[in-house]
Amino acid sequence: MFILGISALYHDSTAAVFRDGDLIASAAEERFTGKKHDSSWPDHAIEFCLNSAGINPAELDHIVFYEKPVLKFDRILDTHIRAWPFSYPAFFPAIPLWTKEKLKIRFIIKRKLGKYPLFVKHHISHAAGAFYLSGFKKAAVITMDGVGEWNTLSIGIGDANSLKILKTIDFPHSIGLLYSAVTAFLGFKVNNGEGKIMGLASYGKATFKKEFEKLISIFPDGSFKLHQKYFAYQNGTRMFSRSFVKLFGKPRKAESEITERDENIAATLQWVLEETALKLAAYAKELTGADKLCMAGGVVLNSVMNGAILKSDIFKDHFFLPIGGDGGAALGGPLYLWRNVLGNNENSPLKHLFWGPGFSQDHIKNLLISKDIKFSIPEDPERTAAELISQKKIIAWFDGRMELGARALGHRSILADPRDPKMKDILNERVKHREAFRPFAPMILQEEFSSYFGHEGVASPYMILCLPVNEGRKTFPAAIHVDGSARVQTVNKEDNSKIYSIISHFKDLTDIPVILNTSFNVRGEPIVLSPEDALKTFLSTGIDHLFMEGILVDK
Amino acid sequence: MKKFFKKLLLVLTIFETHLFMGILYFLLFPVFKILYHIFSLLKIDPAGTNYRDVRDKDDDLHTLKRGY
Ligand SMILES: [Fe+2]
Repeated sequence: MFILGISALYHDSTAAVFRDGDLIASAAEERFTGKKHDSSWPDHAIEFCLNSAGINPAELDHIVFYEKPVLKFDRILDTHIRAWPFSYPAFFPAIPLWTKEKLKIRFIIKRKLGKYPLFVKHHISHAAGAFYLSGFKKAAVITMDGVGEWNTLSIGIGDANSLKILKTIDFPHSIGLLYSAVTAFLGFKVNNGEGKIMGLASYGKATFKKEFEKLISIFPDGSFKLHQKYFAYQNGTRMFSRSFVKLFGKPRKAESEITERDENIAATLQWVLEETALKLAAYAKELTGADKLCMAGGVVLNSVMNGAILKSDIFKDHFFLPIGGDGGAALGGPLYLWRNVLGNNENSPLKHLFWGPGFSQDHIKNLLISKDIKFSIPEDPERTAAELISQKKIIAWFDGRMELGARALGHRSILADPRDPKMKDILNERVKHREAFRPFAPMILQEEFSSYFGHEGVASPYMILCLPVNEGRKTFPAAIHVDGSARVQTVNKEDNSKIYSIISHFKDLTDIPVILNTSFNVRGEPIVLSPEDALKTFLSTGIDHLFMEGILVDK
Repeated sequence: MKKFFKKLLLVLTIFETHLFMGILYFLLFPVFKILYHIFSLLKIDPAGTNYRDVRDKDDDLHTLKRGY
């Protein structure tokens, strides 16, 4: 049985295809169009998924859309009524979008793919993605995002095939929207800059607790209320209101200098998020009686929050679905259908995220020959890469199938030597051009993880956990954040063998089982998809060497 | 000629859509807003929590076909 999952028309449109409950292929539309966070209908991603499955649309048994559009429209109308007459500027552009496209998804899908879709609720899609991919038999499931249809947060329980949502918090009370409002206030883009705020938080102190108490009331059971006086997202034009500005002062202009106040606001926001998350986790445990936790939704990209939950030991085991921005919901919808509705007993748990397009060595050779670019094929590319990295060279590593989700995990990565504290600035200057305060992340051999980070038995293959580095083990300063923590990726031989081999060689050469990894893209663009994209980015930046499927291109 | 009528139809559709939206926004929404206000006065929020209990029936293929 083939099931296609789609999330689209909000942000990060994604498609995924399953055969008998097992994921075959999935990718976000942005990689095909080159438009970061592309929200348009994922025609390219769907085509890629169907090609990977080797089927045409008529052979699909079901198509699952990740939310209920009419329910979402109900919330939009309701919000416009509540904010009347101030919602006026947002109302007139928004409604034609709905009547032309968003309310017609049923018919759009029928026209494009020849079959009417099924609709799974937004937070069930998130929850199902986390629970059924975790491999846990029984678990508490928490989902948190900006907003789905009405829900902004849910607590549920997964037990064997069944998944049930028990409690929700509904719009306009949303921890995701609080985070986004502060992100906008601090001069970053909503649905894009939230991770930057998390990075910035480590520079500041939580000195704005009194002010945040006015924004949000947090109850002992982890539920909360946002005081709407301070927010303007209900009007649909801005995230925060004049009262918010009165409370915190002038908003920071984009690209302007970051002040101590900005750092402290970010730090307090992060503190509020973590406090809420710990209360939530404790309540979810009490409510469900489960000793394992699954989490999904956009807020779960906050790896520092995830680290805090892990460290709290409230739950014995954790699974954080590593695909934020609603991409994970494209996976959850089909799994909910397969397990909960159709009653099938099994699907393969997630072991890696390499579900995107891959390219053969011949394809790459032909490309290089057609462009008249010199290349060589080293005998042991991983060894050569490790040697170059240890000589402080910046290398781009393009290999196998592209990663699903926002992170490059070693198939579309830029790799560098983490021992040199200056490497961060060098990378920024020559390739990434990111804000100076944003940290880079380390990749570490799985078996070395606990001696550097503690937490025996924990794996973090998706870079979704931020943990403090043990004292005396800070031998890779370019990949450690200002507060002594790192957003770590653990690498094992089975699922990421070539990167494993590079790090092993690097360890032989330097005694350090860690390399620095950052995504293979430049600022403002999505991660590269094809050898053509890779070559273009390589030639337009200060990357020294490019490896593609064992082929080495020098500058 | 055909082109002209097509354009005219388009203009009329846009006009009609805006007329409809205008009526909705300026005549009906204020009434709804007042009703909402009255309902919110009648509703008592439980103290000490902001969770809503979910009592949805189990999904089946039939409920999944619905966009609501
Ligand atoms: Fe979401």
